[in-house]
Amino acid sequence: MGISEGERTLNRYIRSTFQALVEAIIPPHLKYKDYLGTAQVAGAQKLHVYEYVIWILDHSIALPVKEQLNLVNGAMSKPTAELLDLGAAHLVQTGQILYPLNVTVFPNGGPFSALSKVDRLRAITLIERLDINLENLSIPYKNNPELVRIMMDVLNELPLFGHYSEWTAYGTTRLFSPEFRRVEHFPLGWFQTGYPGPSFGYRDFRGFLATFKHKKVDD
Amino acid sequence: MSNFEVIVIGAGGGGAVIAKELGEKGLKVLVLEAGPWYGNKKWPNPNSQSGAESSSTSDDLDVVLHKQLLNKFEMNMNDLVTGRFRWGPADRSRSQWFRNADQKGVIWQCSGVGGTTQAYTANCPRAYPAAIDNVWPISYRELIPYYEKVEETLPVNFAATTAKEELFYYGAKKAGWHLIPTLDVTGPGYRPQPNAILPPNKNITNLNLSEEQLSWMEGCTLSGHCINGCPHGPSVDKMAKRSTNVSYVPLALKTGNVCIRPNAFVIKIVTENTVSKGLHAVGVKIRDTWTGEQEELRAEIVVMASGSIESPRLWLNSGLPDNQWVGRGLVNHYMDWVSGIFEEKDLIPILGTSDINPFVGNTCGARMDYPGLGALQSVGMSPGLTASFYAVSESGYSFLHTPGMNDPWDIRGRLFGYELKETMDAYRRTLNILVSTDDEVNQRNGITLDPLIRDENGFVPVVKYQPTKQSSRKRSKLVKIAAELLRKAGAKKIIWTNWPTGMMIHIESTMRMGFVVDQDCETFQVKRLYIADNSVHYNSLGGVNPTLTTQALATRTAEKLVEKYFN
Ligand SMILES: Cc1cc2nc3c(=O)[nH]c(=O)nc-3n(C[C@H](O)[C@H](O)[C@H](O)COP(=O)(O)OP(=O)(O)OC[C@H]3O[C@@H](n4cnc5c(N)ncnc54)[C@H](O)[C@@H]3O)c2cc1C
Ligand code: SF4
Repeated sequence: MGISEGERTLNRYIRSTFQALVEAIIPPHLKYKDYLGTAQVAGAQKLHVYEYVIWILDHSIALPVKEQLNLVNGAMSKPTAELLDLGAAHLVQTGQILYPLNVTVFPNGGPFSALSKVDRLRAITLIERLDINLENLSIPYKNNPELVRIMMDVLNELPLFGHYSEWTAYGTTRLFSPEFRRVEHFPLGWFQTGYPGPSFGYRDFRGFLATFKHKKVDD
Repeated sequence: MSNFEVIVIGAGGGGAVIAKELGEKGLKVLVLEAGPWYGNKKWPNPNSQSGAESSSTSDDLDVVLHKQLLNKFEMNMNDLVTGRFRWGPADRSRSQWFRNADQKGVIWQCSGVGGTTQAYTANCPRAYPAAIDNVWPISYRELIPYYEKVEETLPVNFAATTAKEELFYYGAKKAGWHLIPTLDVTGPGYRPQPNAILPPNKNITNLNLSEEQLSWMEGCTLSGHCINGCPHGPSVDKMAKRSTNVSYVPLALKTGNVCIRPNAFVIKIVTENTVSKGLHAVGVKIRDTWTGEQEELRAEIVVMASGSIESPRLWLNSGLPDNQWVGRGLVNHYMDWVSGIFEEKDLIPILGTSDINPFVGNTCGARMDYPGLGALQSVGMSPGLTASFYAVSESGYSFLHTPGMNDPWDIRGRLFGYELKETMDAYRRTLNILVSTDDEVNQRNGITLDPLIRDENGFVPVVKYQPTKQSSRKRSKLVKIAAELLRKAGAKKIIWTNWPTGMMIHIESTMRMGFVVDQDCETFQVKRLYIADNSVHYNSLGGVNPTLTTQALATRTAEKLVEKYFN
């Protein structure tokens, strides 16, 4: 199946926007290791967590419902990226940005991805407080304040779940339908937190504080 | 399919219980379940192939398949959109079923045999007597024998102690609370969680047996995967965590009278109106979730056990009589999340170890009860779930809120950036507390039908919840108690996430006793239609976890139903 130039541009735009989102929420950082120095800890962008966010946005609503919402072609990721841009534009227009815009980091993105990391979060805050004109949004956000507010939590929750669960380890299978995903290595987010992964059991049994006296009940 | 006397809709917390009870009384029962069946030979690939039609013998239960499907990976199991435990069709290449939420938060329910108990953490406290007596149409004393029967059957025990429970108890004690090792809670105090988890095997500390060997034996291995579905035990009916698919379902099948049909979504309750019987249920219309084929099935009695959202939705989509309380009065324990981060040097003298390791032991092993306010529970989960719980906040980002001198927390709001990383780096030294509020019934909250949007199963539900002022006050008090408990235990940093109103984990009271159903749980307006799920609760039980009460009521309802119609 051929992908048109228009679609390619759209995909690049969507990808850049969600890359900018996850980078602001989980940036890379330096971690003090030991006397030998510090280590760079990967952020969500490097681990492709934005792909999870886009995937879920585009797969969370079933087709018949999408049709009723007029969402058939664009799915959820496009209007959501536009929603972020609207918040960003409002932040810029009202002179509230703290750092200058930078269009070189995500050259395919809109205003949201041109903001500094902290300004991106401040744009989300504006949207969350509904300090934007809901008339100007596209479906399904247009005049839908509840959904707009819900999504601002969702846009934080998805990167966190993606980054710290096994999603990053689905590797080459990560964009497959869930039945066909395979864990290819130990998930980086689990490594970062010291979680040992699925287990058969632990020996940390420290007794009982109280015991339960069952009353024999006759049937 | 042969003739059935009773049709039960839903094989979750309540449905599996009433099916087993009725089967034991000799009635022929058909259970219709919208979602998949994990661990049954007749559905070897439950998420990609339609498999057989139904199963009615416990010989079909397959422990190897059960273990293979419940693989303990948090996204594979718990992702709300694509996880095995989601509210959606068995076919995982399709989206989940759509619902409209009217507030920030998460609606957390699962389809499938076992229903939401597949993911539940098996906490089984009884309601606070004060929330029942002189409030409900029935008394607490009337419930006790049914509580006892369920506690014996699941069975319920007090949770074993691992490090996180030990720390919780230590903090509670230092904060001045007393141990209340009781089932009938009349005053505040802390206690081990009464839960439907088998006690650890006596060999849990025997190093001659590997953990893997232990996981094939009877008893909890303290593996910490309760919320991801527990695959530990020698056979399906002896899994350590007693979700209804491994407790009541095998018992129901063993009666020889119960047939369970997964992948069958009930889209309509069929009724007739006769002079002798009045308006009464005669059957249901179902839709096969794989083929889309529809079929009508009949029985003498229909029991709705489809959960607090779908039961009212089904009533409304079936065009059953108007009732001002159908779908209304939803409570959800207006929840909140408080976390404490500890330092190694402070943990060693208390625990003898430098880490808490929240992933070890039962997901929720310790609790503090406070009749009149609600409850606090310790929670330890895998990192993805843990992180996502820091993301939902009514306060927005934490940078918007500098703590005041008198605030008991150091951080308030949603975590991001460096702060998030620092918190997740301290994952192994974190103790989380879930706040569960005794919220009030309010008729404005609940389930209505979306007037425009429908899916293959009918108009989709709209779910609405706003706490009352009184509920908000109670939650604030509980948050302070939680923060103090953590501080007394030695936490160096306290994070109050300030969850939004719509964190729906304990959804109840949308088809209330005394308003929609009578005290035997038969609906007032449609005879021969009973309800056996969380929706019949009169209120939020004082803030304690709902399932044990649902199961006690389902046990009682089975008895009343047989007395009335089959004697
Ligand atoms: C993560 C988590 C942890 C929890 N922990 C606890 C806990 O520790 N203790 C506790 O008491 N509670 C806990 N709960 C809540 C508990 O899971 C519920 O109280 C309980 O499962 C409710 O039982 P129910 O029968 O009302 O609904 P469910 O268990 O949700 O069962 C309803 C069933 O009906 C099916 N169904 C729905 N509609 C239809 C239809 N139209 N046709 C056919 N089938 C249908 C569904 O697929 C489902 O299987 C937890 C919940 C979650 C999400
Ligand atoms: S800790 Fe939970 S998941 Fe692990 S064996 Fe015990 S009940 Fe099962």
